[in-house]
Amino acid sequence: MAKRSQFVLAAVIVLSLFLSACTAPPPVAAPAAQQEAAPAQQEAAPVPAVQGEPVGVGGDATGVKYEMKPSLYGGNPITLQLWDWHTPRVEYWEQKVKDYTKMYPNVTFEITQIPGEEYWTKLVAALPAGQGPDIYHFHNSNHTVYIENNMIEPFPVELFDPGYLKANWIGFEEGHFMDSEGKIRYIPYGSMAALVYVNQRMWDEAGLTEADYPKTWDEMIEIGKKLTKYDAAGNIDIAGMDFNGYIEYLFNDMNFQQGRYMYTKDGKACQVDTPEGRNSWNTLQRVYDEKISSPEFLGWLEAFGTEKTAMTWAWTWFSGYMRSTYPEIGFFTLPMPGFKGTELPSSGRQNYEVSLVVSPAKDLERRKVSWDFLHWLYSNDETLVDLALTHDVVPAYKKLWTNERVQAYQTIAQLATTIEFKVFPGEFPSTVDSALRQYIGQNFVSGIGIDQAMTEAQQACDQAMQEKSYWTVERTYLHNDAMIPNQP
Amino acid sequence: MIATRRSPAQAGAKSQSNRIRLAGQRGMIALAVLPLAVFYLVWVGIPMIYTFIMSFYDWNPLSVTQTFVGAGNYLEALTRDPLFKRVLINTAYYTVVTVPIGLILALVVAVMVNSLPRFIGLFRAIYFLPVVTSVVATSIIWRWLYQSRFGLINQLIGMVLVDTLHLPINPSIPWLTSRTLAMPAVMAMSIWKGLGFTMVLFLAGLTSIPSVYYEAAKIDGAGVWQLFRHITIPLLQPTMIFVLATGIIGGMQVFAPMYVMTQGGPANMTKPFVYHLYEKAFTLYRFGYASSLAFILFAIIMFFVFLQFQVMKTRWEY
Amino acid sequence: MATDSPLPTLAPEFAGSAGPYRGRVRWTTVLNYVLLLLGGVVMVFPFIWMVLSAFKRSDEIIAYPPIFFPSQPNFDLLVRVWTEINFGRYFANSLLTATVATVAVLLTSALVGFVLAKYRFRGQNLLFVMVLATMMIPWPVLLIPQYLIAVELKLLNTYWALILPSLYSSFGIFMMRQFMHSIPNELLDAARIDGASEPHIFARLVLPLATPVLAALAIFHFMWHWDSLIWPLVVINTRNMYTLPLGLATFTNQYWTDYAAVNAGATVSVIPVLIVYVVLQRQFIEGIAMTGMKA
Repeated sequence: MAKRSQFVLAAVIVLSLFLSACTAPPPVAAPAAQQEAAPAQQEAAPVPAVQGEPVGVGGDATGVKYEMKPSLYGGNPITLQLWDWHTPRVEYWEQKVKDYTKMYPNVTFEITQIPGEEYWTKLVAALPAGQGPDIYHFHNSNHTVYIENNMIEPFPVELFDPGYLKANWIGFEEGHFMDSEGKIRYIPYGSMAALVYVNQRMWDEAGLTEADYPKTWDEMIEIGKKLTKYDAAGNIDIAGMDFNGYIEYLFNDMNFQQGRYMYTKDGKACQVDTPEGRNSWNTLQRVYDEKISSPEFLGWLEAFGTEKTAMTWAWTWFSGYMRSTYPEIGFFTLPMPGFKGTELPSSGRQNYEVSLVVSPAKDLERRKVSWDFLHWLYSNDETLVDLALTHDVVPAYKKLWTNERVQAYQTIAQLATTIEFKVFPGEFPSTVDSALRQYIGQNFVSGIGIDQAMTEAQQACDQAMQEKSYWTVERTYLHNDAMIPNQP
Repeated sequence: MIATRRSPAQAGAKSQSNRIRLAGQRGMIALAVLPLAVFYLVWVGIPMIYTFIMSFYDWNPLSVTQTFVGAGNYLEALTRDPLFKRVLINTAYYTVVTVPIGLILALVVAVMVNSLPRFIGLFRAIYFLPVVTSVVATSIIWRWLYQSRFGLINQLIGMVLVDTLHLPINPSIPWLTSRTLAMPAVMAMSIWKGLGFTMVLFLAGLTSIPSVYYEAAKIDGAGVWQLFRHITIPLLQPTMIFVLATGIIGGMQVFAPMYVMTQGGPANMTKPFVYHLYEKAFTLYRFGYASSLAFILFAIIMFFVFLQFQVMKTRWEY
Repeated sequence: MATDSPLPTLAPEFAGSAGPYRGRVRWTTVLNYVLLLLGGVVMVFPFIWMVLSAFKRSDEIIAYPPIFFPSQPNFDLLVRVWTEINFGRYFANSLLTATVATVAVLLTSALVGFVLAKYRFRGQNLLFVMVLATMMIPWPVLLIPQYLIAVELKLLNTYWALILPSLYSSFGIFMMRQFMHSIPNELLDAARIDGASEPHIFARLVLPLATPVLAALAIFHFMWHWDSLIWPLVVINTRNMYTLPLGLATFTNQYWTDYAAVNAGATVSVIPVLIVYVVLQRQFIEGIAMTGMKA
């Protein structure tokens, strides 16, 4: 009896295997992405192509001037799917598509917002199944896997002129947005890096002025001492400079400042346990030793807005965070201090915020409309300024650095002056991120000695780099000649 | 209700009613099993078999071609993955501590709450509240409790042990950043969060114990502890088996508490197995490797759940 | 009815003290209350903090040290949660799908649990093992195959995509099977001798007996469904189909999470779960009455 039932079950399993071969894509097969997506477009009775009003046309930021077309998609109704995760940007797209559809009334958009990490979960499920969007927002931390597997269509050169972009935008000359064949796969809105954030009230109350702006880490520590406040028992009540929870990135920046790259040349290992790395660690240690901050103190993100620290160190998205969360706290930013008080060899790491991309899985006529929309968006100066300000980044289109709105934004105007001294390492895998956080940042706070920390961090970072091949481009840095020569 | 139905005439026609009964049972079995089989086959069976097959491939869903690697993924997990042992130990540590403590605490609270003459409903609700408290509120409050410099726990320790008792202790205990303390800190939060859930299970189990058993035992002169030991515990056995088995299954697949509190740090001391697997799949796109990890975990859980079934069945015959 | 239960006298005695029976109950009852109240503070405190935080300014929620009472009741957060996302619509979507799925799971779990526990048939144990086994495979690796099946079945962006996967619950089947074991066979046989048909026994005898466990399962399943994020997120594309957790997740942007708004939304979204709990927990008490009666 038992035997028979097992046989039946075995048969069922075999059957299900057979079914799985029929219904789900077989294990080794061309993904459904290559086929046309489901017949989603149920074209109703074709609407006569109503010529709309031109809005925001004539921009030439991509090197090709945007002209309004007589009609798109033959005047037939079309709904483009657009996926994105970042809330302020989604709100912005909603405005922009209204303008665009004024020009082309037959085009409509369906914008889907999928939050944070889950966005990539959804994409990895949907794209191969042919269920993905026409247009989706990209982030360069997924560079290799998306480009290698052709999930992004190259930007058409007749709309995005590579020569113009190289001459007028940052990063193109160095090839930071291209695949191995030099095709552009996404374009940048701008670049972000770290600055020092200072609480205005505390700065003023300590009687400090512009003359006191620290240029070096030594000066920074001296200022920090003046800003620190202690309770009766001698414990820190308000830190002078708190960076707990962000130490690994600061460590990173300090290494670049001493001319040391992050990865080895072949991108198969990290450069953590180096003389420069040890010097960075020891410099950070002085902040604790001088009692400007302490290991058990709050994390920087909690401390600055709640006025528990006078200074912190953050990437410039933090300005947006302060604006929206603590609108009443006054603050200003300062450039990163260095070891010698000069920008060279580098003042730290940078990363780009990049653009919408077009999925190659959709048919050609749909993609043409998608590309027209992207061309219209990214050729417009004001749109690019909006996008840079939304992300708190230095605009990638260099002409915009003198734009009034950019100039009026202290954080960005300040960062723009030093952006050429920032190194872009290429992909920054989250496993490397996590290795540095756990073995530099957390080891530092928990008082684990420099030798053990360096060994552990070096090992964990190497393991992360060896697990997959990553796209590292840090040696394309503009001032490569100022960095330490003959690095491994 | 049942007593009113009894009639001698029906009791007489036994063989006929037997046949009807068996036909009725077959009908019930078909009704229960057939849709179930279809559902599980399509919804879980096929995906599981698919995943199992893909655990022998270097599977990246975004990639057009998938490379067959044989047992390569399994070999990598068992021999080369530098974190494999660490995450397995973490997971076992978490399960071995939280499951028994959670079970005993929940049982004690359930019995205590059930014994109250008044306000039973209120206490049942109060002890269930952590289950529904939002993740944001939970993580903000618990991170504050554990914060080294301004956290409530360390402040209390400072007040009581240092200021009052003058013990030579540094009250800045790094609950979430110490390699040895982080896991127990997460476990405490986890037990707090899950207590109400298990309590409800026990409450439901307690209500199904017929009161006659206690009354009969009391007439026979049984003491209180004997009632608990010989009636409550054995009759809660099906519930216990359930709580333990689901506890092991859930504990071995723990993910959320660490994700919220520590992100696996410091030094991966709070990174559980499924967290590791999740990273392999969704941040590294190594779904084939993640699948092999999933089936290794599957085998481990299966082993322990059946071990538990065997042990508990032989001890109490349920 | 509740006073018929032996437990009010059992547990205080279990708390262990000597002396005359009546005196013991009083003394231990007081001790019970004290202990439960102390524990209750720890249990209830974060919840109260969550509720009060829905009325704070957004900087007050992340203040250090935490602020317990809002400086003044502030409805901005609730208004924002209501206006910035389509809260009402998401709430309705969640309520519809969670209710349908919960009712379905109660029925299927009770039926399958009953059949597994009280009948004998071929492949019974294997079936149970397979139901259990499905709980042991971590969800991240099943997500993509399940998504592909949802595509094949044309479920994407429909309510069915949210309901269908929740029609059966391994947890529920296991739970009901365990409970059904504790129903004495003699009771079923007595009903059979009385001429009750099997469906009748299931519907009129077993289901009422199972009320307390069904109530517990209802709470759990409703809550899981109510809170589930990943699956709805993957299969739902258009915003008017979003469930509440999906809507609240949009308060997380690329760089940070608006904890205050998320918390305010979560506070409102917890209300249905609490209502379900408070309504259903009465069933625990009625369950006792039922079980007691059959003696």
